Amino acid sequence: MARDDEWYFGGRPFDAALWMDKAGQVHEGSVPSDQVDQVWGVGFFHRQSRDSIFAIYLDHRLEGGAGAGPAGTTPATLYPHIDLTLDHAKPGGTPHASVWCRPMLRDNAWLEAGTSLIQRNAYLLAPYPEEGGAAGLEALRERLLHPLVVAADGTAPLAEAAVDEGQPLARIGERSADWPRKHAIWQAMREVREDQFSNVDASLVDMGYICDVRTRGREIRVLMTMPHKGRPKYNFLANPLRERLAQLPDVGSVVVDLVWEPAWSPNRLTDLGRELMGMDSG
Amino acid sequence: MCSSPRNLEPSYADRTDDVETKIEILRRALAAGDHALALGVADSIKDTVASERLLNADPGPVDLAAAGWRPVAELPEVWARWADGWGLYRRVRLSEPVGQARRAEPVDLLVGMPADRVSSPGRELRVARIDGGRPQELCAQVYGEVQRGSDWLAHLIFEADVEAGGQTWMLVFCANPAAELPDYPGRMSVRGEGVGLEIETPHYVATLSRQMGQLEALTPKWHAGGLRLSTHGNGHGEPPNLDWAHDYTTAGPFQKMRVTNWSECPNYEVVRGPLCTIVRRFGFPHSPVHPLFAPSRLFMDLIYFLRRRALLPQERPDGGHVRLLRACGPR
Repeated sequence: MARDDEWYFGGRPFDAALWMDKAGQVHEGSVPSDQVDQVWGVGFFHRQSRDSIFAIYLDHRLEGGAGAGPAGTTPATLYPHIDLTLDHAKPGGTPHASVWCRPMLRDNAWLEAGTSLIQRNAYLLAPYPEEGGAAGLEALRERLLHPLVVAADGTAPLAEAAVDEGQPLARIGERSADWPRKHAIWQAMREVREDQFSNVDASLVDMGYICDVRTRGREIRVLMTMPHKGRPKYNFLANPLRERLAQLPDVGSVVVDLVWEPAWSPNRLTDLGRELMGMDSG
Repeated sequence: MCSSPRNLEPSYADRTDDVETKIEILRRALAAGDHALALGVADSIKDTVASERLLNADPGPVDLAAAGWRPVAELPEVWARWADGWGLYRRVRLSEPVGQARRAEPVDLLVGMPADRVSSPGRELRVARIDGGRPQELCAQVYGEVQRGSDWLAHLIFEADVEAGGQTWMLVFCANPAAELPDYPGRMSVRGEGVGLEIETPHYVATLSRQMGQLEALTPKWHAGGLRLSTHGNGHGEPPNLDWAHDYTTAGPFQKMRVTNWSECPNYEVVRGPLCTIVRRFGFPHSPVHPLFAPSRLFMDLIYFLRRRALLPQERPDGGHVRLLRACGPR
């Protein structure tokens, strides 16, 4: 037995149930007995507040072997079944929660090695309007099942370009006129050695530690990461970096910030960094 | 007497062992009854696998190949001037297939870029839509940057508006050596470390369990009465999560498991950004009932994909709220 989607809402925030049939139509109330194995969405709402939560099951399948197992088992079959309980109560107790769960396997199902169960669910937390609430969920399911189609389109004619181009793409420090200064800053940082190594003459840039360089007037701000938190003495590296950048012409202040996001990875090494670290050889 | 020591470990492969070698060391350690060494080697194997994954794992089907970029100078002059600083662009067409207008629909593309022109996809990628003949920059998010051969590959997410049955074109730019991390105004803030995160958007707050990262509570912001969806209790002696961990019983009635009720999450990845938060957790279940039942033979790979408005999937085949179980037994 297995259950693969179980939600439990304590405090009874909802007083009505919702479910979606195989065709994607939303219904209010409980699931008729002849459709309990064909439920593709489930949720709750409150008639007064119109608060709701709804789960849409976009994909639910078994891949791989579903062959026969030992005596007493059955080949695994997936059931899009929902157990929906609006007023969950323990025996002898009062209702205290709303619960749904999907017991998707039954009859002592036998899963062969290599079997995959794949599911893709969307959960919507939103008001459920009295008018159009169900239709809105049905439309959302269609959009999720049929997303925008993307095509790389190198040949289509471009639209007529307006004469006034508006706010440029580049922020301060990003235009082509800024390339020489940025180039000089990156070159200077390439001269700052990763001094944690004894013999490898790799720079902070080649090791991929520099995440970002911002220039605003005479101020330079560098975001730097380190490979891991095992030796978090970042000033050991940041001080020489500040000193080198301060030697550049027309530099007022240099700020170096240590960040762990974006995280370092060996993909950040430059070609020279890879070579110096022996990543490309046997 | 030598003036300088000879480098006996010039290559990465000289400095560490590969997985096969480590597995052999693990076998020998177990055969010798040296379980402390075996545990150490098992950890070391995990480190090597993680490193190999970063360097060699296939990132998946590429939506925009590295070969398709064009010089920005080929754009109409006013657009090229607008994009001053960037060297390469490409056009992307978005078509609406079922007659429903799309508003802020997320598009996630795996983009290839030539590594000899691009230093950092996260800094350099930009997206613009064409509005009334004018390009207009869109908020975008870049994650999963890897180098494979002479290409960079990275996921690029942006949101698109397309009329029902209509089409729209986007321009994607890269190759600007002066580009800075764009630092778009955040519509999504993520607090916390590890998997125990609190994710806040203009529409809701989601809280993930500090213990194992399962969704613990949801608070809609539109609700003036202060609604907070949670279990309001301890469940069946288990961590009180709104989204209860999947449970199953194996053959025999006693081995009941909540398959992601880890005492701590064994493997996880978190992607943060202005448009979405992705929390992926994977590993083998540890039974919360008794350690003698754990780990089980099911492999869990679960992704939460949190968007601004709701807990919704990204529209790509392996995205969204994916729960994948792989049976790895019986032995």
